[in-house]
Amino acid sequence: MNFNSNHNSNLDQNIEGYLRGELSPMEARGFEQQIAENADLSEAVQFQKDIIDTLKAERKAQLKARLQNIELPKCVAQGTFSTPFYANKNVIAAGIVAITSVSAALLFFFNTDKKEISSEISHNTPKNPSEILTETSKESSDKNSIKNIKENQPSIVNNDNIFREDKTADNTSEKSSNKNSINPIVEKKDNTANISTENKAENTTIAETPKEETKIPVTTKETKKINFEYQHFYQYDKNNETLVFVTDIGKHKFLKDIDLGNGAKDYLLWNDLFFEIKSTQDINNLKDGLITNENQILQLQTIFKRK
Amino acid sequence: MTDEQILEKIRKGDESALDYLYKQHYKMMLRLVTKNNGNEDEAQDVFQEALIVVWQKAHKEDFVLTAKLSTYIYSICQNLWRKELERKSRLSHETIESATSSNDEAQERIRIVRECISALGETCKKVLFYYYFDELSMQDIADKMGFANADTAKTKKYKCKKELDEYVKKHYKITDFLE
Repeated sequence: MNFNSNHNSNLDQNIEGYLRGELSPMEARGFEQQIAENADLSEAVQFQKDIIDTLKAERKAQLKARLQNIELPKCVAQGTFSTPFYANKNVIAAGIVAITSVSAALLFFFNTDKKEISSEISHNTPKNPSEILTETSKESSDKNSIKNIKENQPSIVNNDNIFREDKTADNTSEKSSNKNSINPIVEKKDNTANISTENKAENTTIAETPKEETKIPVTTKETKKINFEYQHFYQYDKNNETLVFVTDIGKHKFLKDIDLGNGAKDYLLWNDLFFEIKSTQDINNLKDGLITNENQILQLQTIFKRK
Repeated sequence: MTDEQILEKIRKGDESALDYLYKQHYKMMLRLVTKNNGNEDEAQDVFQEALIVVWQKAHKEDFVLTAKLSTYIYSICQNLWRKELERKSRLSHETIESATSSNDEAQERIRIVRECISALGETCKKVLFYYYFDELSMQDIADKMGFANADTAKTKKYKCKKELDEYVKKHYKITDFLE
């Protein structure tokens, strides 16, 4: 091979410029043509690529090692899915669903981000949207909830369904209630009314989930899916009039300063649902602002149509 | 620290900015991953990767932050984790091909280069890392390394790279990668 004897600093610079992506597209194409026609040059490029790639990999490993050694805040790791309260609850549920307790508990633990329906819902009307769609941390600790495990399996259609747009690889099964997502607002209301009479299984699609899972109470869980889109986060700065979504939500309509009798607020219409958009310093979860009050929805529908 | 202060630190190659971001946003990233089929180790890994992406991007001249830094990091994490899940999914559906001889050879070359890098002096290692991975400007390298000016950094980088090239060539020849 000749590149050792032939190479010069210009060639090295060209190779390095090419590997660092510093050449213009035309220059890069020309250089690739030369590489294809010249075995020595090809070898020289490969040689430099080995070195530069390894330098990068070593530096990256160094930075990762630095981060790996950082002491993280304690108790953070447990996050949202491992509190004594839930553990106790699972134990109780396990007692009721004796044979399937392990899988049920697992489902419970790992589906923390899915809908939660508190026991109050089965007795009363929904309190407010955020409580219906809250995460486990906000789950009711009402002892009565345990009693309702068998007889009041709620079948409220989950508005979270509407958040599922992009299904990725592992979604091999479809949840039956997903069919109901065409008009989730209406369905939610209807199902709330019929809550004590209906007892549809919502978790029938997880292969390893036993049928008894439907007896697990109070918190009705959805199947776990590899899907990020059902949660959309945004950041809204009202003063600077910037609304940024972490994920692309597609077609939507945003109106500011609408007063529904509770002060001027900002609302978003997306997928036939209305959301209150809050201007805060932090990233907010879109679903936390879901409007479920019927009067407010009607008012918003009129206002959004008009504008 | 404000986003701008953090970015300024990153641009100057101050790694403590990464430490700060890691501690500051870990909880959010842990949540993202553990709620989407991942565990704590995977959360840490993907977050570390994301911060390294931020580290590199922030050094680019054309880098403009259009949202809050936390939003930006979150979206990178989300994308990385999505890719990782897709990769895992593919692996579970495909048979993993056995390594070919060319892969073996490539790995051996990388092993040699890695050894040669570790044999370099600390200053050379840092200069080359800052130049090739961090993509710091010569002036920033000079500032960070305490060199007199950008020209000194450039000369140092040239010498260090040449030293590494020679060292690798020598070892490649021993293993017949070069004739």
